[in-house]
Amino acid sequence: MKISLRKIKAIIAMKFQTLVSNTSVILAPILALGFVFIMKRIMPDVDVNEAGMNFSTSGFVLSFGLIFNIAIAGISMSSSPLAEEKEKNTLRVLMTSSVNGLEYLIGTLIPPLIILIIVNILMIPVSGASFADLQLGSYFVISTVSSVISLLIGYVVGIFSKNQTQASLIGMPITLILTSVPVLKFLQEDFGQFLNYTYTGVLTNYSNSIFSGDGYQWNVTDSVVLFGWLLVSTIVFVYAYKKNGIDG
Amino acid sequence: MKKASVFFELISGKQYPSSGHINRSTDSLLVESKDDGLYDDLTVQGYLKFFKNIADFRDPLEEYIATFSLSDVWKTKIKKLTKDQRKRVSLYRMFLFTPEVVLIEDPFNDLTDEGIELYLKSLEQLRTNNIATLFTSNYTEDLLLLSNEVYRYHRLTGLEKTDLAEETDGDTRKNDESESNQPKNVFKVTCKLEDKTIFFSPDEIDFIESINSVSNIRIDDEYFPTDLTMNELENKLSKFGFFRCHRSYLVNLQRVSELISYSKNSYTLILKGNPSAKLPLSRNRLEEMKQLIEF
Repeated sequence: MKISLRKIKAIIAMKFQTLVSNTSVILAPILALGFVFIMKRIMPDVDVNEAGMNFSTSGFVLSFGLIFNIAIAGISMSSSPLAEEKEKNTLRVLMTSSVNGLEYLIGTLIPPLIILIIVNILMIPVSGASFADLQLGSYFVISTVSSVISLLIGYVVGIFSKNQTQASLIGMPITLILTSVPVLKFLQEDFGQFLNYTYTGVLTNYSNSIFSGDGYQWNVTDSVVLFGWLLVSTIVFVYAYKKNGIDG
Repeated sequence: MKKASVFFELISGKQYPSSGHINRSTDSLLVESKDDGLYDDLTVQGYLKFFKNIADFRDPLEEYIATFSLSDVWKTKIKKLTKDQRKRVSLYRMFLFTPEVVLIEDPFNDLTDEGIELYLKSLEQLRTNNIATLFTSNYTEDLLLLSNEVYRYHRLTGLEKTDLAEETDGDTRKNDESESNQPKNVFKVTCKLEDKTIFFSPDEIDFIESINSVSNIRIDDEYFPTDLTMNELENKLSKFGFFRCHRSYLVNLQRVSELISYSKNSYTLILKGNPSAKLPLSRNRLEEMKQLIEF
């Protein structure tokens, strides 16, 4: 499939405008920052790291903010606009106007990804962490890869939905499981083990361990889980796209 | 309408015909369906700029704002536009792609008279750029405003060209003679439907339309075919206030409520209580009508 950079650039510019003016979608990243800001101020500042048990308020708040942004905002930022375009028949107009599916997907992936990355970075000062603490390289890789995974999951949801109501209905259970990770991990140890294998679990592990003295060490499990999710979500997305097409 | 979308899909190659084949000499065609959407959150300018980039259209957009009558809403968000204005934005979008053919479904659906007038004006821009236009509509009257060639779809026989030419009829004189002994002011139009014959008084009839050389009596939205030709009907009904406003139309002047001019050369009659019926009025017949009803 031939792709045209000119068309992709046009779609990126248009999508930035429509995303920013779509309050229901842009509200999620703003809420993520707002919650983190409030939680940091009302939760007692605890930093326990003994007898195998570690908990730090900063780590908890940061992981909460990241997951809120990446899982809730990420999934809705790609599923909702795609479903809306199908519902309002604007996608059909684009597809008959010489834009192909790949150009559309690349053009619509980049604006939400940039917004997610900016919010992920803003999350650091808002959660009270310092840039020096958290190995910026690892932070950037983990949060960005997770954001891409969320956007791809959102696309799969969007591909299978006919309208926005359906998209939020399908997206809700997925979002619920992914976002409950930091709390469940803390409360339920057995289930916590299972949650280590989700990409939001990796985010939680990372956020907790950067405040635990030694800092975060890349390990095989986390790398395999993170890139495994990226691979699987890409495969599922490509399958859904091939089977259904985006305007199917 | 489902038929229109199937027809467009067949022409644009999205659907294959179940029998026979379609020869397409160009792939440069654009389709507009009745329920196509626009990006509501963008302004008219933003929307068209986006499609200008997609289409790689060279001229500045501002050059054609007046042609498409969008000057007053250029910076307005699309969600605030009326249906009339949205249709013109959509037409401008298609113009940017300069395709060889555009297929448009039911363009006058829900449009106001002013909207139709401005739409026809915008359409000229496409035609002067050699873009062929094909429309579908539920009303022949709409299509007569849009084009000189009209085809009707019939469930059994498929597409048939509507004959807009004047019928020649040699029997008129004979009928006139046989009528001379009858009372002059009693006349009923007869329509045979299966085994019954229906009589219509002239004052019941809205207008008579000739479709493929068959005269159809129109009363509200119903059609009743009659065996009489348009010339016969014109001769008989002119004394009841009927007027031949177009080769294919004979209108009951008592039912006419408005005369609208969409462009220099075309006039349209709107009927009382039935605003969707728009009858074409030829330029040379306008004078005749003026004399007849003295306005």
